Parts: sequence; C-alpha cells; structure tokens
Amino acid sequence: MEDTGRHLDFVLKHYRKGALDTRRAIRRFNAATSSRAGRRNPAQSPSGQDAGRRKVRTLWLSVISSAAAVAAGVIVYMNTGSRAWTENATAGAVQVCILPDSTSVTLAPGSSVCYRKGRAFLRHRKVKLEGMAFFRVTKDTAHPFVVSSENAYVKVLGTEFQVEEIPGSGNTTCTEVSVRSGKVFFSRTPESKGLVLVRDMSASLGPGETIPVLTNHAPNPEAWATGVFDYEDTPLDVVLDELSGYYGVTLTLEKGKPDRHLTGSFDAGDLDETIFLIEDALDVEISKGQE
Amino acid sequence: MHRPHKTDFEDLFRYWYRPLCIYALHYTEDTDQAEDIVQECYMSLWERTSGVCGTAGGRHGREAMPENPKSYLYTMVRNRCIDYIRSRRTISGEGIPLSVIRETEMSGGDDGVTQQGDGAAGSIRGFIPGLLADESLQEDSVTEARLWTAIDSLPEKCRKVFLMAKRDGLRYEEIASELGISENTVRNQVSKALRILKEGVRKAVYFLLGL
Repeated sequence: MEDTGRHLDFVLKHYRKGALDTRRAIRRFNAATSSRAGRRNPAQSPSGQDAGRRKVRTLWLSVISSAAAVAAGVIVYMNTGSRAWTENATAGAVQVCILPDSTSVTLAPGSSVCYRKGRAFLRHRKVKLEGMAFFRVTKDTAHPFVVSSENAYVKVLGTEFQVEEIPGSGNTTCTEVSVRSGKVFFSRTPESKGLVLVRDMSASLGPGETIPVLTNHAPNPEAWATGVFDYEDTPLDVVLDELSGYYGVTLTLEKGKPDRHLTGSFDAGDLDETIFLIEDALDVEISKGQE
Repeated sequence: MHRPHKTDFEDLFRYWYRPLCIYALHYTEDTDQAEDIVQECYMSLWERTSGVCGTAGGRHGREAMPENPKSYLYTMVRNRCIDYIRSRRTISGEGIPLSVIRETEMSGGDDGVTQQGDGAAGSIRGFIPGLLADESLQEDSVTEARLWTAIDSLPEKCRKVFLMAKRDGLRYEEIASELGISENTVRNQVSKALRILKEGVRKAVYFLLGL
C-alpha cells in the first residue's frame, strides 16, 4: 500500500475528466471496424429518428457533391506534382485514418484528406481537406500542423479540432473551425490576417470574407466523430438546442426550471436514453416533437 | 479457431483499455497519444484475427486469437510506444537518448542503462518503467487505472476540490476563496476523496490476488 502515493501522483499528473474513456474507445473501434467491413455506419442510424437521419444525410450528400467536383482537381495535381502524395477518402461511412505522425483524422462520409507519405509528412505536416473532418493532432511544436482547404488555412500546435466546409449556393463555401482543446490559427491564406482560437471557440469564414468571424457553436460540434455528447455545467436550453439539431427533432422542456445546468456524457445515437437520463438527473420533463 | 466477435473485443476493451492506456502513458506522457496507440493496437488485433485487411497490411486470411490476448496487447502497446518515442526523437530531436530506447527494447530493460542524463524529471519518470520488470509495470497500470476510475467516480464537487488541492497544488485557503466555501469544507472533501480512492485501490489489490 505504500506504493499508492507513487501511483496516485502519476495518475494525478495526467488526470483529465473524460480522458481514457472506455465507452468512447469502444465506439471509436466499432465505427472504424464497421466502415472497414463496409457495413453501415452506426452513427448514421440513431434510434429510428427518421427525420434526423434524413436531415443529416442531406447535409452529407451536399458535401459529397461538392467533393466530387474538387476531386478531379486533386487527381490532376497528384499526377503533375509530387507522386508522394496520398489521398484518403471516404464513401458512405465515418472513417478514422491515422497519419504518419500518429495524428488521427475522423472523416465524415464523402470527405477526403490528402497528405504526403512517410517521412516527408513528418517534416511538412500539411493536409488538404475536402468536406468535414475532426482532427486529433499529435503535439510537435517544431513542426506545425497545417490544414488547408480550398479557401481556408488552419495552423495548429497539437490539439483537437474540427474543420467543416459548408457548401452554399453556387460555388460558395463557408468554412467553419471548432476547437475542442489546444490552440489553432485560422485564416484565409497563410499570409492573411486571422484569428487565434482556443478551447471551445469556433469561427467561420464565409465567401468574400477576408478574416474569419467568431461564432457561437453548440458544445459538441464533433459529436458525429467522437460519438459522444459531453456537457459540463451546460445550461439545459443549450443542451436541448444541440440535441434537437443533431437528431432533427424539437425537444421542449415541459416541466421543470429552464435555468438548470447539466453535467454528463451521453452516447450519440440513442436520443431516448439521453432524454431519459437528463429527465432523471435534473428532475424535469422533456417532450419530443418531429421538426 | 473461432472467429472473434465484436463482443469479445468489447470485453477486451472493458477489462484492459484503461490499464493499457495508463501503461502507454508511462512511455508517452501524453494521454491523447496513449489512447491513440492503444486504439491502434486493438485495431491491429482485430484485423489480424477477423481476416479484414487493414489499410496498412497486405495480409491475407486470418490468424487465431492469441491465447493470452492481454499480454499480447501489452506487448504490442509497449513496442508501439517505443516506436513512437523513437519517431519523436528523430522528428524533433527531443526526448531521451536513442541508445536507451534501443537497449531497453533489446534487453527488456537492465541496469546497464540507468544513467538518464539530465532530462526533465517528467521524461526520466516516463522512461524508468522501460527499465523495470515488465510484469510489475503491468500490475502498476491496473492499480493506476483503478485510481483513475475512482477519481472519475468521485462526486463532482469533491473531485474538483481534490484535483485543485492535489493536482494543481493549491492551498486549502486558496481553494476555499476560489470556490466560496469554508476551509473546513475543503479539508473534508479532500479527506473524503482520499478515503474513496484508498478503497478503490484496495479493491484493485484483491482483484490482482484473485487473478
């Protein structure tokens, strides 16, 4: 037992709430193995929420159509440029890919990342993104990690963040960056003025804008990738808003005070269970309507 | 040989995910990295045993599930951690001397490499495990995983106070004024946390004896 102090010191040094989450790891594993086996992605079929499913799919389909247009450009580039570039694209499911520096990229369906192979990547950590992806970047201060998309530039030093291209009408694309931890620099080009984003901040860069603008984002914009909604002292109305958007339903507080705050972590994919747990924890009643 | 099922893997995750992460953490000193390495090892085991070809390997067919998946995973995690440390060293020139890693890797650790140079305390701590008998490190990781779980399960306020006191090194009066509670409450919460953690570890000891 005299060792307990030593063990405790070690654990405390690294302890972070929500880290080393076994359930999340299982979800990650299941998502990765299902997509490789060509099965349906579980995140795409959350508990029979038909409306939600349709909404999510339309969003993704629009991403796919825009990605197809640019994919041609990428192929041309790959043929004329260095042969060392490799592309990793997804078709119908969420997929996790690990870059040579151990950075993990969770790709949304229809998205792709393009990067150099092997050691070349370790020297120039540059990734080109089409679509939407969630990044967990390996720390390496000597080699900044850069994500560029058609019209945005994001530079990081070890962090978790998400980049999403939101196709608009015509040829316009809006890029949104949300940071879960760490620090990120977001601008249109490497030379132009930009914003530094830290934990829980997000910003978007619309067509015609030169500098990104800060946006209020939901607490878990990357829930589709992590498979989990984490709340820490989050106002209940913010929670209900986010869940409504994700599942494509309208959640309304029927009974109980709206100023309650919620702390906890919930599986993405089981709305009914989430509602039940929230009702139970905060002693409120929530009703669910189709949007 | 039976084809491994997803639920077999879920059990492997439930039993060993956290201990493996803690084990990896001793090498990587970075929780995100440790989690990624452990995840990759589970993936690799899955690819080998389920016959699904991974993106990395040109493997055909499938292999039998190792008789002792636990030690298989531990070994794989350890090797990947060493690879990771080596790649970090070649990328950024930081970390510990390559010779230490090499010798540790080849000999499984012996006393020929006890000189750690003048690296930061953190990295020394991180690499001593490679020099210890691997068995005891595995046991340590189980105990530490228990502690981690016990901290997770503390009541929220209790955990907050406890972490401020023990992890962030704040004095009781500083915590009291920050949270707007009395010093006495802080003291009570910390001792409550320690009591719960001790119980958590004792369970771990029984658990090990029971193995």
